[in-house]
This record gives sequence, C-alpha cells and structure tokens, in this order.
Amino acid sequence: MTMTKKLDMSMTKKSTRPPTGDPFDAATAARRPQIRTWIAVVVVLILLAQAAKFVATNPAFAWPVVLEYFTSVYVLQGLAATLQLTVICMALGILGGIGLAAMRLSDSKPLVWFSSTVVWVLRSVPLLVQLIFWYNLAALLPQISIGIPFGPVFSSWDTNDLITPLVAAIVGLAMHEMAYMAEIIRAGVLAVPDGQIEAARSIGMRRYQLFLRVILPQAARVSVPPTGSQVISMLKATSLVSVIAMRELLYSVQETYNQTFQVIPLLTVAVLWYLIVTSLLAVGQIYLERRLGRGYGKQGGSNETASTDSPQLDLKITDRLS
Amino acid sequence: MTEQKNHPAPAISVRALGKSYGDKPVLRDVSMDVDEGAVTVIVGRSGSGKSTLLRCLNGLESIESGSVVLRGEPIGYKLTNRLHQLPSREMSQQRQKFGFVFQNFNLFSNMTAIENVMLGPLRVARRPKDVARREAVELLRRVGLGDRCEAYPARLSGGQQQRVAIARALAMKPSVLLMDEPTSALDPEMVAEVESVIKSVIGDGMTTVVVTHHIGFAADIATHVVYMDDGRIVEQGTPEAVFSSPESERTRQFLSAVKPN
Repeated sequence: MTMTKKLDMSMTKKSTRPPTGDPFDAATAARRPQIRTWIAVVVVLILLAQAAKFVATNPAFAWPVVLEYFTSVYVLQGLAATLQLTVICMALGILGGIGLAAMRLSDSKPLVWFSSTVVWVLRSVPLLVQLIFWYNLAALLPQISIGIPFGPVFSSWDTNDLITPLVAAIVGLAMHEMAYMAEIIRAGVLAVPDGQIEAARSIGMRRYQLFLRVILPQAARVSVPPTGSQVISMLKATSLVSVIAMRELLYSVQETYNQTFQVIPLLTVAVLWYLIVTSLLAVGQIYLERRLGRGYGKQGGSNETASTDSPQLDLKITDRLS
Repeated sequence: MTEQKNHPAPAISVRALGKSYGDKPVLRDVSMDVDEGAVTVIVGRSGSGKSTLLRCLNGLESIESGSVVLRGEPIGYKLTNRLHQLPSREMSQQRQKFGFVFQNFNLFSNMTAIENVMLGPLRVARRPKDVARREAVELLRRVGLGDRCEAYPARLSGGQQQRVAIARALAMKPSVLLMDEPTSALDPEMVAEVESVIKSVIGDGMTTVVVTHHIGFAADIATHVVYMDDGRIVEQGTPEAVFSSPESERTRQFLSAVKPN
C-alpha cells in the first residue's frame, strides 16, 4: 500500500498540485514513461536494418540488372497489359456486380435465384480453374453462334478463333470479379436507410431512377473501401493469366528470365511495379472516398461555416465512420 | 352515391379502407373525405394507424381493402372492365400529385439542399435545368433558406432540414400536401420555425393532410379534424367540435392527456 503510494508520488513529482477546491486537473498529469514503446522501436529498427542490409548487399538481387530491365520495353508492355486487364475487368466486374446485386435485391423470385446461383458458382470455382476453363472452352463448345434459341442461326464462329488468351483472361477475371462486386454492392445498398428510398418514391421516382440516382451513389460510398481492395486483388490476379500464355507483367518477366536465368532480379522488377501501381491506387482511393463522402461528416462538403446546431443524429453517423 | 349538388366533390375520398401488418390490423373500415383546399389534421395516440392512413393516401403503402380516390382517380388501382393493380410506372406518376413530408425529413444525404429540391423536377418531371434551379432557389427562399442552397443536410439543423424537405415536397407542384408528424423529431426550439413555414404554405390554399401530436398546432391550422384510435376513425368534424366538445369518451381522454393546459 505504502509502496504504491510512494511510486505514484515519484511519478507525479513534476505535476503541480491544483491550488484549492478542485480534486485534480487532468491537464497537469505526468506522462508515464513508456519503456515498452522504446523496446518495440529498437526491435523494429534492428529488423529493418537487417532487411535493408540483406536487400542491398545480397548479390542475388543484382540491382544493376533490376535497373536495366525495370524500364525495358518488354517489361513495360507487360505492365501496360496488366493495367489494361485490371481496368477492363474491374469495370466489367463492377457493371456485372451492379446487375447481379440489383437482381438479388429485386422482388422477382427467378431473378433472385439466378443471381444467387451465379454468385455461388463464380465464387466457388477458383479463379485459376476458371481461367483455364474459359481458355479451353473450345473443347466443350466448338462453335459459338448467334441466333434464336432452338431456331435459326444467324452467325457462327469457331470457338478457338474467338477465345484468344486475351478474351479468356477478360472473361475469366471479369466473371470472377462480378461475383465479389455483387456482394460488395449489395452490402452498400443495404446500408442505405429506408427513408432515402421512401423519399425518392414520394417524389414519384421510378424504381430504376431511385436505384441509379439515390441508392447507388450512397451505396458507392460504403462500397468504395472494399472495392479498393478488390482493385488491388485484381491487379495481382492478372498475374494468374500468365498460365494461359497471356502476356502481362509476370509473363513478360518470366519470358525474360527463361532466357537470361536472372530469376530474382526480374521478379524484383515485377514486384517493384506491383508495389508502385498499388500505391498509386491507394492514393486514388483516398480521393474517391473524399469525393463520395461529401455531405457526410466533418470534411463534408461546402466551404461555408458549419451551423452551430448540427443535429445529433448526423454526429452519430460521423462518429461511426471516422 | 348520394347526390349533394351544393357540396363540392372532395379532393380525396377514402372508403372502408382496411390494412393489416401480418395478422395485426392497423386500419379498419376507415372512411373520410378531404375537401379541396381544406386542412385536415389527423390526431391520435401512437400506433393508432394515423401515419399508415396518410401513407395509404399517396400509395406509399398499399391498401388491402376499400378504396382511396383522388379527384375521381383510384389510387393504386385501375378500373377498366375489371379492377386491377396499377403498374409501378403509373403509381409513380400518381405519387407526383402528392407532396410528402416525413417525420425524419429523409433528405437525400449525398445531395445539397438545392439538389434535394431539384431532383424531382429534373429527373421525374424532366424540367430544364435552369428552370428547375430557379424554382428551387425560389422555394428555398420561401422556406427561409435562400442562403443555404449549397449546404448538405448534415450541415443543417433539424428545423432547417425539415424546411428543405417541405421545399422538396412542393417542388413537384403537388395538388395535395401530406405531412407525417412534421415537427415531432425536432428539438423544441425548432418547432416554431417549421410550424410557421407550414402555416405559410397552407395559407396558399393547398389541400393538406397533416398527422400530428401537437394539439395546439392542430387546433391552429385545421379546418377538419380526424381522431383515430386503434385503426379506426373515432370522431371527425370541425376543430371546435372535436377539440372543445368531443362526443366520445376516448377522444376526451386523449385530449386531456395531451393538452398542455
């Protein structure tokens, strides 16, 4: 008992006692020395130094080789293909996801079943398997035709001509993405308060209008953070299409090191590019979140001074989001 | 139909309206008329079905039995050679004829005040943008918020939000204004500003139905009072008749419970 008291006394030595009356003033409290923090800092610094030394001095990294190939045409072409794939498949995935989410949330039972089944299948089959499957579609379906079901055929193509590695890659990645985006968008839609929908109905908006104009913009705000992760996942997932001989970043690097045998330096080139693009995406996400967050919380919108009497309800929402 | 040549046709007539949530009836055999230009106030305890009745008038809620008719046009249904439900497109068109003000304002939180007011005229009525904007500014000025056009709802007080909501409801140029407890979610000091806006709107001769708890306000604005209890209309008539000399015991109990004096 006396020990603790002594300790407390020694720790608060620097603090000045409040004059009279008030029991104490929290502002005068002494900072407790955080020894644990300093130990953690030292440990982390040692580990970092070790890692830096390993990366800098290990000859296997062959930094001159990394530098040489980092901006080589072949690698940059691969990078461009990776970025194109990411953008195209993500766009298709989001559009498809919106469609699937809308079906899932509709009143129509058949649409709900259709959407649930599609999402179930696409999420259950590994992406790599899907890619190989689409690439080999010709084995299942030698001809692809456009016409009336069970009726006349207007036009027909050889599946092998149609499904190039690029097409297989786009179809596989987009279909896979669509299933995940459907769930992310559905979650966003469910987060929109019913009152917003009722208000839209009360001014005579049609269902599609209120979905596009009122629900989606608000759902987007909730959906952006998980969609950001999806974009990064997609960027990395494009590396899988190297197995169907689609020339993207990883495939370009592999082709190069198959000739030069400089495996680690060339993989390092790919890693650095993935890191750079991911970082840029993260910055983009911050801006997008800010844009969609207008009207919500402190950074919400206009330059004018906040009214002093902001309602409690909105403050609560802000607290939850910040 | 009884012929009453001297009495003009009502704007809205409700006949034998019934509705239940699951097996719990919320409206039972409700019949009432809303006259053109009249201010009808529906009062009653919470859970008496008055908000549901209001929401049935513009088809925000579907009805299960009976009928609601706006100037000869059945709400939510169509009578050709047989009776069938209206397709949702036509229901949306019907709803444009009503302005609706919600208890919790329900402003679109991702849009500024003026965007809230303009959305309907722009996207539903498809008015040109400059016309919609001009009218929206005018409406916001009318509710005393001409200087807050670009503010997001989160930056507005409850009273200001409700005034924007009233402007939004009026923007579609409705012929009937429905208000569901427009001041119940407000802090006491903001009730007066919203009530005075409502009064000025009603003063223009707009056919109005208001659900409210505030008996004083009701007595102030009403031309017709409907008292509901347990899903039924217990009593209706002029404010003097219902508030000063209620016929039923239940009305009397309710009034003595809520009356401030």
